[in-house]
Amino acid sequence: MTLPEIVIALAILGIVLSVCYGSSVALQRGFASTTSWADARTNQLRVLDSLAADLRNATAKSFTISADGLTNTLPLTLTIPMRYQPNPSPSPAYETTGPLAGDPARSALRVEPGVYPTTGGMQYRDSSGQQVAIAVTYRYGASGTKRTIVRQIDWPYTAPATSTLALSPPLPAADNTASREVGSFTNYSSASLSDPDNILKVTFTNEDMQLVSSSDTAVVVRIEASPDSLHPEKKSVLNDTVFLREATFK
Amino acid sequence: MKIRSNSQSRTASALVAVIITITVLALLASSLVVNVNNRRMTLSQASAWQEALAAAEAGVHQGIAQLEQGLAQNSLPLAGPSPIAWSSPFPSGTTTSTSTRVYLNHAGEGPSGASNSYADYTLTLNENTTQTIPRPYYCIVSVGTVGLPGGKSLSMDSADAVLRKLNLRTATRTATRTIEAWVRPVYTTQGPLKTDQPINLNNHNIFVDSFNSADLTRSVNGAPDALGLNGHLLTNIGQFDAPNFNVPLAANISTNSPFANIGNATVYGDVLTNGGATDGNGATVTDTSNVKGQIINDYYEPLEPIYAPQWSDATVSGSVNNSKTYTGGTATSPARYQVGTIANIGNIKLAGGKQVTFDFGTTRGIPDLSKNYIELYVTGDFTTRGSGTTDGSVVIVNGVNVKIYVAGDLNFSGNGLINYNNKASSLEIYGISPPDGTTQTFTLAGNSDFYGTVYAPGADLKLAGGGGSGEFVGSFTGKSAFLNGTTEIRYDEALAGSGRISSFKIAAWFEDVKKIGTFTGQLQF
Repeated sequence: MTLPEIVIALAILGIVLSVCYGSSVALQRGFASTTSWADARTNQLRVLDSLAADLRNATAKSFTISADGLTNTLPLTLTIPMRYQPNPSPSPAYETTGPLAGDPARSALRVEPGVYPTTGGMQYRDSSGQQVAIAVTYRYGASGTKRTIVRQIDWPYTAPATSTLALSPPLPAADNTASREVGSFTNYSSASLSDPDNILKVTFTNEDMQLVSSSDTAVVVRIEASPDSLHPEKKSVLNDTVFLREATFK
Repeated sequence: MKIRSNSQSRTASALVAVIITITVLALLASSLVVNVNNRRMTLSQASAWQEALAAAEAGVHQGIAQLEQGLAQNSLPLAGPSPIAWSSPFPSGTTTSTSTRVYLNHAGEGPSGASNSYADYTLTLNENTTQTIPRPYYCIVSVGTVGLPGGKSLSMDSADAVLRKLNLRTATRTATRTIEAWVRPVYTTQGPLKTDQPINLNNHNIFVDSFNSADLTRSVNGAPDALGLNGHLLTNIGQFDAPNFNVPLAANISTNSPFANIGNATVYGDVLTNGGATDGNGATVTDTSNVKGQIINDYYEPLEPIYAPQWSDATVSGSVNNSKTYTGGTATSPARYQVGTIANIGNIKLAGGKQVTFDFGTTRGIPDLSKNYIELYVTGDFTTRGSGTTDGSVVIVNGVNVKIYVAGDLNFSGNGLINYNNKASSLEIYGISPPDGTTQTFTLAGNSDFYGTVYAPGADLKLAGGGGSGEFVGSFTGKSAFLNGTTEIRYDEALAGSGRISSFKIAAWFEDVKKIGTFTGQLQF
């Protein structure tokens, strides 16, 4: 084999190897990008579904107004009638720990609703006639380098002595709250986790894209994530319009 | 010793390189396929979970449709001991129906039952027996089920499993969601004025408010407070001049059409339309400056038709043109009278001094106060004209309760009708729904105040104030409504829950996210 032949062979080998390397890197980037986009979309979808389920059940809602004043954002607190009661006493009505934290306890019983005699409307009340409700709060959170969405519920009653719903203070505080992550988003930007706009942004408007008011019958939920590590400015956006079922029955 | 040639060595090296390359690529590809397949499964499962909600809601709607069909067939009893022995839609002796399955076929899925998307729903009756008038509430629990595509694999993220609680253990993998909806009855007497077609209040002097005849703080001995010349209540009893009475405005005018001309009438309640617009040249809800409540455009309430009574115990007569007295029976066995028949339609037409009186029945010739229920079915028209009597052309004696069914037109003018009960609940007038294309008109005018309720879903309703007073105390429902003059509608809130059930309305909606639990379906009043 002559020297020119060796040089040419090495050159061709170099080209082939560089093409292989480039392809491999591109493939891996593609795989990583696909994975991170799919991961973000899955998380976005889950957050949307979770929000929608709670919004439909809510009788009242309290949003935060975003810094620009144009939209509503997290934290969001929903008031939902308490539909479950502990069984048996003194177990809590809701799961307090673990992956199901905030879901009704597996042993819980349904609360039997009542009727307002004057209006004919429905009510969920304790034995003293007081309405019972839980608060469901969605807020931003952080887990390591990830931005998370946390669903927290707070409920007022637990472990009553005589009635499953009667107020029996002092209540064990630890049993009155539970939270879990419903979504987790990787931070690909240089932004701080305290700056959600560059990592993940959840906004709410009414159907006219205005701030949500108490008379609105539907809420448009929009979740923007930045799953592209090379181009964080490219957003993955999901929208969902949720009809406020329980809140709109007159 | 055999020496391998260079060419054989190169071939082997190339084979090894190819195998390694293919292995690396296969690993990468399989990783990608696993990842993509997992995401596909997640999306498919999420989609099925969403569809399960639609299926569950379809079950709720089917339950409501079943109840409304029961209304149309007069199979929902309005009174009786609790629990009621239901014959329809419930099995005899129970208050919870057996589960009914509704299939939701996708396009091209073939015959019903072949779909893997369906809803199972039950109806549970809860009757309020603590009040005078029973109120049947129903709990509809609907479980929507959709078969999951693909295999048993679940999303890599456990949060998806927590949220969606998919059923992957059985041979038939499914997504299920449970909706619990409570429906409450809507009565014909809820609200001062309801129509299916446009409402036209043609005078700014028209006045609509409410009071409560059962509440002495919101009525004058059970009657609406009189209006002064300035349109304010004389004794400050009522709701709009008495802010200390913290009660919501209840005089709501509602129509299933988008059109409502309020004519700048004073309305102490909301105006509800179906898609009515208030802005610009295309406004369909007009002149609302004196509406004290809200203008709401998402209203719809079906108005159940009224069918002709099928009485076997009625006293049948021909047309009535002279004075006549109808006497009452007991509450459980009301006296029933029928004017004319389907074959020979009979009318009541009163003019001059002629008078129809509804009075107590007698026992041994003596008025019996327990015989105070009368039902009258007029197969034709019921009209009064002119004056000539010292009181109304139609008189209801104090203490007597009357139901009148009219198949033709109704026109109370001249001296009109006087109800000496001075309570709207004592008189119910029903317009039997005419065949399609047939016009029916109900006109209430005359000099006297009107106490009663009118439910005529197939009739054009005309209310006209006559003389110095045109006060209509009660609740009025027609196909359309036209009001003029100085008409006042004083809606008696105590009527709510009386009369007939016209439809059912969802009062509560709730998605039960608990997979396993017990539920008795009992309501607390």
